[in-house]
Amino acid sequence: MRITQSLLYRHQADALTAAYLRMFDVQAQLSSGRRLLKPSDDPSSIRPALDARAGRRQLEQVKKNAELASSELGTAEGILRNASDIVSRAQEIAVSGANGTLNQSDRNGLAIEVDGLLKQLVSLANSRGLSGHLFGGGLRNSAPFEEVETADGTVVVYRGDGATSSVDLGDSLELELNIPGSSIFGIGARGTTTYSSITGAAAGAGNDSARGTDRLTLAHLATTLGDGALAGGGDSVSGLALGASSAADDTLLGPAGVWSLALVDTSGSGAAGTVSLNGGPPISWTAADRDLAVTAADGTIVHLDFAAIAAGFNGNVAAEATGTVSLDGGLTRSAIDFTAANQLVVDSETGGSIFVDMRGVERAGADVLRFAGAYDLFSSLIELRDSLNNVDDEPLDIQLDRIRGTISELGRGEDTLLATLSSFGARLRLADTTRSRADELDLLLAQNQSSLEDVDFAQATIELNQADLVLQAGVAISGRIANLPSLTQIL
Amino acid sequence: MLGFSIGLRTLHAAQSSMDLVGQNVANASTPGYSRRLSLLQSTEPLMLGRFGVGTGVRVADLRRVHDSLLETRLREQTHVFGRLDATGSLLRQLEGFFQEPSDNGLAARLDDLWNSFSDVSRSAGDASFRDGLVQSALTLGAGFRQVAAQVQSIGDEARQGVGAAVNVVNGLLSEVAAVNRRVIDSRTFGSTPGDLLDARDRLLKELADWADPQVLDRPDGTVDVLVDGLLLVSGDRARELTTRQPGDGTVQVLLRDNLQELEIGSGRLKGYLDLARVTVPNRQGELDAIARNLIYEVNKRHSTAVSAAGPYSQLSAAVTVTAADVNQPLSQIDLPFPAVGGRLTVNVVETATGSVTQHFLAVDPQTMSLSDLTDALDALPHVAASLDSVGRLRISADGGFGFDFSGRLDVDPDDGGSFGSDQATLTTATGPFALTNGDTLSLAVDGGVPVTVTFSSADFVDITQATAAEVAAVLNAQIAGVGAAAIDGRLVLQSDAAGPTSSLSVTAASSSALFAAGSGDVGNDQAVTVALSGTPSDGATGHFTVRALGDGVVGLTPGLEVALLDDQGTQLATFDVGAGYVPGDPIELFPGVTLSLTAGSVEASAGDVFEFDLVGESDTSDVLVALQLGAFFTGSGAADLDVNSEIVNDPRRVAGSRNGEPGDAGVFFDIVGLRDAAVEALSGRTFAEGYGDVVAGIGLEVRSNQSATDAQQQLLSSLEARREEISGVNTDEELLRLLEYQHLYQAAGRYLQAVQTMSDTLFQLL
Repeated sequence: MRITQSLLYRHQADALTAAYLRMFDVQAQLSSGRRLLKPSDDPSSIRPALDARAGRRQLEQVKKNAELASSELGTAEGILRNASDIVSRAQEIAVSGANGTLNQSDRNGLAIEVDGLLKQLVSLANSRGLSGHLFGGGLRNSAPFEEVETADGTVVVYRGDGATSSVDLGDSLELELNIPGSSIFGIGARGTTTYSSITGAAAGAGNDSARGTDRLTLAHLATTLGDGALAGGGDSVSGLALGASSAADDTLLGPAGVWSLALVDTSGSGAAGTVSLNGGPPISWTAADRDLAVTAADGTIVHLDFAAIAAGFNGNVAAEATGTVSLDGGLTRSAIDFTAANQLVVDSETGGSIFVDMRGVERAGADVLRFAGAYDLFSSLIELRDSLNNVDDEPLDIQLDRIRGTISELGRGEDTLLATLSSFGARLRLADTTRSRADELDLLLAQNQSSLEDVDFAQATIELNQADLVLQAGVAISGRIANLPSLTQIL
Repeated sequence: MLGFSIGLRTLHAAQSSMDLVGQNVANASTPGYSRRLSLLQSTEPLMLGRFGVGTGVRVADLRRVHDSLLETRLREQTHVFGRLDATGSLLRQLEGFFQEPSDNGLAARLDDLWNSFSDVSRSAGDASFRDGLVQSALTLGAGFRQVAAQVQSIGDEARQGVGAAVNVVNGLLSEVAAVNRRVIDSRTFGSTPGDLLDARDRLLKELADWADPQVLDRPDGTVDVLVDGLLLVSGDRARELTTRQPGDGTVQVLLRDNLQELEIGSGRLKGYLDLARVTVPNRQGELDAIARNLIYEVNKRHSTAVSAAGPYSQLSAAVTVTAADVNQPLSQIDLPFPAVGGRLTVNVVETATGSVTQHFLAVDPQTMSLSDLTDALDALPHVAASLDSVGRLRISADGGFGFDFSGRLDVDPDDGGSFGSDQATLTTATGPFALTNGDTLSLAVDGGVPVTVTFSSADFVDITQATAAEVAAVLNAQIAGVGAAAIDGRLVLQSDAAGPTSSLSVTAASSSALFAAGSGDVGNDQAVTVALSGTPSDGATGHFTVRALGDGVVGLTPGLEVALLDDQGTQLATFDVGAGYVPGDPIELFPGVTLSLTAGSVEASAGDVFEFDLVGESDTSDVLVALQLGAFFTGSGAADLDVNSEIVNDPRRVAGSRNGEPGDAGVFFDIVGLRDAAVEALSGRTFAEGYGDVVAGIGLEVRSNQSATDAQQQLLSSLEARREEISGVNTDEELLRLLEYQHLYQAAGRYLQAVQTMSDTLFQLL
């Protein structure tokens, strides 16, 4: 084999280049701390490395979402605990308010506290979390609950929607962050409807859908006496006519046969006499009484005009009166059908409807309707407050009955609240476990990524030393080649 | 005197050989130089009688020490190396463009997009995080475009490389031809052109770096050069190569004279050709597939969603269609994504009431043109559609109305209020109706004077088979105070007024095909309000009817039922809405879909019925994706992926609600789900996996190129060493030879001296 000088030099040059390259690679890895700087550094590791990085970025989002979920759920849980305390306090008040020995001013005092509790509960239900109102369903930018004074009492209206908002916890796992307020503070199983029945109206056979406490207003429309042949509906036989206030202030209602006036002309000339409504106490009249209020024993009133009583009349004059019915304080009215066993009445404000048995209706007035089981927490508190205040001017036994009624409604509401609380608790645990699992997974992936991408410093340092050694040897050998003996030195 | 001539010859031979040593030493470092050996040979002997007497020495040959087989092998390995080396440097650039693994590459940006969608999904009802989402999407789009442009630039560079390489090859070919000519010339004068052969070998080796020449030695000392079996150099003639770019982004190499295409097998030229024809288009294709499917999958979901701002009041397609294509069938024109045969759902929403009217447009891309689609949309009530000057479909809603393409439920399916109506209602049996021309129907509305309607065959396609819709149109045109509609194939007449005072009465009818004379109805106070809610959780889809099965009051009448029927009239289920039903309570019609009725009267005898649709997939035709209506992304691949400018300008237009409720994030969750979804068009890989494979593929290519280059370099080095071993100059060896020739020269001098002394001796004798 022949060796030439240029072969020696070229070989040395190649070797030095290789040594420099190796040095450069090791140095780049060591100074960046990474062995996978570009895909070609280790093509078999690049996919797993990219997967690990993608996994970690997803976990970062999962952790962020889980943290947010846990904060939101934690806040909601705290708020519901406060709400539960409020409900407990309200139950205590109801129990003491139902004590017959208290006087009305004591109860008024309790009512003030209940009103405070109501306001607190509304404000709790309108609480905000990190991303808006907690209990508004999908609508998180406006307060979901609003206390509204309507024509027939206070109602708390839900302005949110039925949507739930969820967070993505990875692996197609969605965690619902909230429960719409309508179902948290909402109602349980519907029971029977109770009428305070001032008017004679009673529950029909159908299923009612109104909620809480509502008031059924039966209003008087027009009275007709006897044959009703006189102008304004008076009786042409007795000459008894209706007073000017009749249409506005009469309270009698009902078809023919319910009401009757016993009219006696004691003067014999139609100038004076007595009159009594359905056997009530006789009331004296004179021909000058143009608008005399005649009251029955039960307080039902009819206004009569005695100006043209037939002389010597002594007999009964039948009376009947039409009326309207309304479940929304008179906003919408419909005619009373006195033959109806199931007249449908709708509350235009809440959309609730009831079936009323109108056959027993005898007088105008507002019946207080209580829909057992259909009280949400707000309407329970409102009912407690209003019954403590006795806003419907009811006798004590009915008032106490109503106060007692709220205890079970509040109890039901509290049950719903506690059930919701435990579901929030379960979700909170899920959010927390997801977070800690994400932390663990992240750690695993970080180790994985590190083993794929990062330099093993010990090994790299050894490699650096080796590369250094090779380079030094190469340089040294180059020096020796330069000093190789040659014939030129001899010639 | 033989002695003088022998001495002289010796001096000449030694002189020439020493010159050769000088030449060898001088070229010790010249690449491609083959050392020369002077072959000394004794000259022809002179016959003197019976004895042959030597006549001295001469330089018989100046041999070029050279192994032509080795040269051939060297060339073969050189073109392999050239191919690898040319590919390698561009591949490494390509690899660098992807910036992986890092936090700036497309993988990270794609993850950012999913994370942003996840952020938005948490609070679908408000505008927060929308800006962040748009920003992530813009960054991703810019990333795709940048990488696509850079990959493209590698293709450009490779194409330029092909052009440059062809020029170099042309130069080398003509030089080889020139050397051939000089070889022929020099042969004429009989000398051996060693330096020319060295030069030619060097040229051929250089040529092998660029292409894969086949070299054939000719008897006359010239070489023929063939590439792809085509003779490029023959004797002193060379043919030129040229390039052509057929326009599809690739490039071809051809002979300039007859434009015949050559398939270059190796060398740098092959490396550039491979990059331009295979590697770059493949990588572009892979990247495009990811971008394209991302656009498709995200848009498919986004375009059928409703934004938190509510239904659209106006919307423009992002795709423009040329005037020439507007009347062509959609399947024939160039759209970023194809439309398929299917059905598009358009919901028209009355803003004030939220009442939704669903419309279904059948789309057949084989027959339907863009202008047909525009007309069909324009024909929908309260919606106007037109094509703008640049050929974009624009849809706008009338004031007080909006529209969307979601699969939302019509929450108020009983728009006319005919189910459990408080108006007077008359309903026929199911059509068609056998009327005859001139048939009359007299109808008294609310107790007024009867109006007589005459049916003319002009108003019907076939009056003996009159449809409910046709009859309704006639009645609506001729009678005031009453509305006629076709519901479930029946003709439903309804008084405009409500309550007990409203009435309808058929006073006379020439035919009982519609209503018998004397039939009539009176309104009531107890209207039933129908409400649907929810989203089908099992994807139920179809057209359904709910029919009252008896007369009675909801929530009161024992045994009152309604039936749910499918579009074939098959009864799917019945539900108690009588004594066992609390008005307003939800009745589950389908999983996730509930119906609630308020208290009131329903009458099977009056044909109380309402219809609704469950829309599983609201656009089965992909026409929204094809035209990019309500799109999130625009573009059709990596090179033009961008965010819809409508969304960039107003991030509130980011849509994520499936059921139309502002708080719903159903579609956002669908899009977030794409992160882990196996995409069929990406061979069942996720987007991240598909992208990872692109990156890993390039890494592998670079890596294998590097190791192949390294191996080739070693092989080449060893061949070069072998060549050096044979043809290289060892200066010490040459110096020894110099000493040898110097001694020869000196000896010849002494010999001549001796011969001269001899002849002097002779002359003195004279």
